[in-house]
Amino acid sequence: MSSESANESPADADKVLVALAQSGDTSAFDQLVVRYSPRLYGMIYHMTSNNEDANDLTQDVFAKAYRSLSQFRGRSSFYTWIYAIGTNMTLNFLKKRNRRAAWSLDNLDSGIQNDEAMVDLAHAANPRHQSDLNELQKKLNKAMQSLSNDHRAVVTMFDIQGIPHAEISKILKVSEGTVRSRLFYAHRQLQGHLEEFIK
Amino acid sequence: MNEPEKQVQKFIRLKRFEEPRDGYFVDFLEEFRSRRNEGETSKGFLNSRVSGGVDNRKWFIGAGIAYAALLAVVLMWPNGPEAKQDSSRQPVIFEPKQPIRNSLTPPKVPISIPRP
Repeated sequence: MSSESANESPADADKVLVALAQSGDTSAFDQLVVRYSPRLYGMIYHMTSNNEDANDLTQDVFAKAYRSLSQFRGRSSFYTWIYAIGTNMTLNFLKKRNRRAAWSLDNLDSGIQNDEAMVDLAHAANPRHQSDLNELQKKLNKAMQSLSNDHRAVVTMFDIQGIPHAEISKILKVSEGTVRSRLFYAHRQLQGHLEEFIK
Repeated sequence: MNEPEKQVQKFIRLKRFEEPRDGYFVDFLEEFRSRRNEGETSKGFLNSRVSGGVDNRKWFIGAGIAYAALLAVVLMWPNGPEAKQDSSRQPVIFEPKQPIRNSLTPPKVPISIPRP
């Protein structure tokens, strides 16, 4: 589809795609899936620390967005809207998962230790522990999972995904002050868990 | 932001390099399309997994129907076996011999006026 011109901002391009999708153009919605699935999947994966859950949940988020598209009035950007759907569904899912006795931290996924970029960055961050990337990732995941769901959401969006405070406050429907204070307490808690890796 | 907090941020940012395998998002779109074509977007993948699957849901529906049926039988039972007419059992009617006095109404006692 050639609706996205060179001068068009991503938000404008989204508006065009949303309007087309609302009029029944399924390929326009597919383009929105292509555009947002990596970021949305990333957010959900870092919240759940499980690839299978992240896959199914991201599918469900797009399915819900597809069903609810007629209700989208464009008061916020499509990006904020679908992120809000994703965050709410993930937080609800985590509440249910935490009640499941069978789920444990052993179900956390791993796999970044083979990523070259990860190896370089880990070395830059702390050369002493370069050899123990696997251990670092385990610690990182466990540290993330030790946070409350609300705290993990802001750490995921701000620290990992680089979403600004103002945008996070719109997605979570809380004040910017709340976002900052959640980040502060989350960092303090993470500091305790990663003590051995901090110089 | 102090130094340890900056270090924590650095470590957490490493997680952005955790990415799914190559071609994952192509398959993801295909999966979404096929679900949409089959009209499955109304169902959730996860709800069934979290709540224990379809079998569990069936069990809940079955239990609900059984409970509703039992309630209907109890409510519609024609007065029950104990409620049969029993001529020996007459209702007890309480009839006070004296009118009940309210504590607020003063007793009717003849007033005697002492003569000088």
